[in-house]
Amino acid sequence: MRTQLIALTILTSLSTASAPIAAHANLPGETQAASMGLAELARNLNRLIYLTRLVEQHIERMDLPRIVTLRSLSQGVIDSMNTAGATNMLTLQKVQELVIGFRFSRDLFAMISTQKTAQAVAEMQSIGNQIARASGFDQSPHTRITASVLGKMHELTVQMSRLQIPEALSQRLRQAQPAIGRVLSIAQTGDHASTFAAATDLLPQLRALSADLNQIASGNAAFMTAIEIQGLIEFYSEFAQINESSQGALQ
Amino acid sequence: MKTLQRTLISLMLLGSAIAQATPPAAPAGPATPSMNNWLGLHRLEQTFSIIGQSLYSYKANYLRQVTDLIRSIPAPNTAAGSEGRAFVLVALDPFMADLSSAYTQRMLLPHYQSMRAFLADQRGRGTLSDFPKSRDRVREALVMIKAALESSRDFVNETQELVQLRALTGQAGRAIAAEGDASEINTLVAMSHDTAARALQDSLVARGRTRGLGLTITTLMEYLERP
Repeated sequence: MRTQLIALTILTSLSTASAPIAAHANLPGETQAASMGLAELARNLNRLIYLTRLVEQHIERMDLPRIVTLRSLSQGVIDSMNTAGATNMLTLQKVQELVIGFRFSRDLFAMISTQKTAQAVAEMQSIGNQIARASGFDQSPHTRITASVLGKMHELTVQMSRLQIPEALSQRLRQAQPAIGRVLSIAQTGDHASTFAAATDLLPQLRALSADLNQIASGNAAFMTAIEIQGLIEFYSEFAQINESSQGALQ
Repeated sequence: MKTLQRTLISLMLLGSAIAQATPPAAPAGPATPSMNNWLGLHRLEQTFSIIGQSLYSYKANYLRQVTDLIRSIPAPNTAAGSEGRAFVLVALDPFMADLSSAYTQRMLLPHYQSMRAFLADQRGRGTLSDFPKSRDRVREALVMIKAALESSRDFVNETQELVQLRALTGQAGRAIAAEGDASEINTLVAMSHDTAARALQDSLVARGRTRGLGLTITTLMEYLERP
């Protein structure tokens, strides 16, 4: 019964944390707006491809590969929209790759701008920024699942420590909160190596809560919160591929 | 109507006869003096200004400073003017050779090369070592070295050496302009042989973005070193 509840909690967390942006296109009354956005995206991508061809003539050999890559990434999004569909995960992934391409090309744009190409280069950057904003990938080129999960977990531990629970558990929860906060601050920059390293240290400390959380009976007001915390720990362990033998420095 | 037809036919025949009588184009080689080249020399500043519009800002900045230098040289229809321009164009070789954008190579460099070849032929000076060392040539070399150092400053780690070398170049330039002695040149040349200054020049040549500027500095320093 407890295992099934945890599984259900994982599903709930997943469905709220990673609902695809494109799913909004299916909401009643929003189809037209979404399709207009897609038409604009396609127009912007074609303009971007045109601009790369224009600028390409005026850039030096050493910078050519970067511009060709940006064009190829733009074409990749168009191709994926045509073959897999605009709301397909593959297309979203291609958009993200393009946004990352732009994110790491700021110095390049500053370098390659000449009197002749300044306008075209500025327009390329502007289109890149628009796509990043519209796709929601503008904040970070990395996913932010760790931040999302730990943010929720921090909220739940605070909430639970205020409920009627055994003093030992309450104390453990309060002790865990600063550690969660520390990893959360690292995780704000996205899911990357240092985030996973910090999370690997934290996970054993969180798993150690399980024995106390299991003691919360189903009639207790804190029961569902306990289940949710356990669900998030399980989900995150699987996402980050952190197995139970991982030893954390914080433990 | 018939008169018009006859006129047109005559014109066509005349055109055809002229075309047949015209000798085939000379094979590509050293440029020959032509009205275009003469006009080009008088418009060298404008040509550089047009080239500069297609260059990255730090390279455009370098060319702008070289253009200012050309403006300070006497008119191209004088011996001093054509000699000075020939020296600057020959000294620009490494910089121009390093411009690799398709547009520059296709549209701008042929014009520069044609003028450079014409002037070099006219003065009988193919390389920097063909130019006798004079106060004017030294002044031009120093301006070009200083401009190259300034334009490279964003790309070097050896900032201190660059600042020092630039300051010495400026001092030497001022001494030459004031018709003073050439001892500043010797100090500059000696400093350019320091390990740190050598490392700076090597790193400029090794970096893709500053290769042309680095080679310009090195070749002009070698020129200054001559007795």
